[in-house]
Amino acid sequence: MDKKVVVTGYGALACNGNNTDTFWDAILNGKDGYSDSHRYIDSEFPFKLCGLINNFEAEKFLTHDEIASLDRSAQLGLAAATMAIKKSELNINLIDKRRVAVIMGSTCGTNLAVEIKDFVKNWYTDREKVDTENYTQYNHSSIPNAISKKFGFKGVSYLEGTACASGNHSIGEGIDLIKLGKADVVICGGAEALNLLPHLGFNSIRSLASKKCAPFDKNREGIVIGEGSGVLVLESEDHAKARGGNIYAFLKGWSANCDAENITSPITDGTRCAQLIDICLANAGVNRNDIDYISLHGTGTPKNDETEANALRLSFGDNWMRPNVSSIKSMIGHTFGAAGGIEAVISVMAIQDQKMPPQINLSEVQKGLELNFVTETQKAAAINNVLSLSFGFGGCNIATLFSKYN
Amino acid sequence: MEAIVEQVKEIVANAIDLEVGEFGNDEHLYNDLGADSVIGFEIITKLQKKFGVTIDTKDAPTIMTVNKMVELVNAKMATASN
Repeated sequence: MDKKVVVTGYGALACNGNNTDTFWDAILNGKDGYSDSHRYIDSEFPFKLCGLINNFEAEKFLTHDEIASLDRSAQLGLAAATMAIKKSELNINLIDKRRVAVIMGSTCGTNLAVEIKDFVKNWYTDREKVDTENYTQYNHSSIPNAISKKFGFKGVSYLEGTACASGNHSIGEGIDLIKLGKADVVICGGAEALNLLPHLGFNSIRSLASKKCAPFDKNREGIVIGEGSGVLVLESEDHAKARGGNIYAFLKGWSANCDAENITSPITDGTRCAQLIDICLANAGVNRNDIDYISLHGTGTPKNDETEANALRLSFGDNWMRPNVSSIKSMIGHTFGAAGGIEAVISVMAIQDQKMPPQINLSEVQKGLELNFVTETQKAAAINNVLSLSFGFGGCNIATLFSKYN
Repeated sequence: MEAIVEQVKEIVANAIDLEVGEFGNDEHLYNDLGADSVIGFEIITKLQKKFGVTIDTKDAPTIMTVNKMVELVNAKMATASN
């Protein structure tokens, strides 16, 4: 019989909150965290608005050695993981660490484009300047590996690379590891630091917004790039109960598929994403009419929003206006590989607090994209089932389904 | 009108793998007949082809029963002929 997977810990930080509690408080109250400048963009770059964590207190979560040796993406991931593990009250000395896996998602990983450029340039021009000690920080897998190392977890530790769906994907993979009996505990989520590469890349495909991210709004311009991390502690229900751990939600199921068409553009009729939702519901054994809240991918690009609105109509039929929906990217921007992890945390916290995050910057919904948007802050509701959606470049689509633990 | 109902019902029957006499015109495609988005989209595609009207996934909520599909097809045909 399949093991049941439960969430026993969570941690997140983003531009509107540098720890789980301040982040959640900002999210519930509709506060964004955008700022106008950051260290990777020169003054000529037209789109400066971003979701930088200006007050990241690395020293609260990391040792001096970790701060010195890890890239910012890995630092953010380690900070969120540390908060999640603390929340879980796992006694690291009493559990079998060989049975603890770590899976983290990231889109750009640790590639700080500017620094890598210098590294390569120095190699050819002045090898004395090459910092071989810091080469390891460019290794993408340092994001999960840093978590494994800090806590001594000796199960599989790897980076999930399905673009903007990576964070959600790592959680889906975590479900499978536990259900297949390959791990008792999985630390999973996503981490992403601001990086010049996506700024230039999304600018080149004209997807950046010059103003605050406004998913589904008539006057939306596109995405605002943010950074952050969101991490869950997953356990088999048996393992959590045996150690007397607090259980914050069931993680009932997940699904994944691929558009297998355009690398940067989704299939806007919503058929692939609707199928993704259907498979997730079937995998979780939850009826479509029992979904109370949907954490949308909601990037604010014309094609994403159209795809998602169509997918919900096709999958939910005439009940498409029943579930409350919102995109927290309106408040923190698109954190790419971290987004699915952060949105998993808000899915669990919505179930815990029975309150839903609002969507801000929604003045007038684009015709044809109407959904049951949560626009009021601190909105309370009976929340038993939450669906979290993530779509990534390459047509990578991931859905996860969280339920109230009774 | 009746001819359209029968044609729509045949499309639905083929999509959900039932005989036309095995389900009612007001039975819900998802809730009663166990269909999903793949079948929903198949029906949309076949309705378009059969009746020469434009139906897309935005219309999905309005095609959850045979009778609703007939209403939509009739409305689209009337709009097209105006």
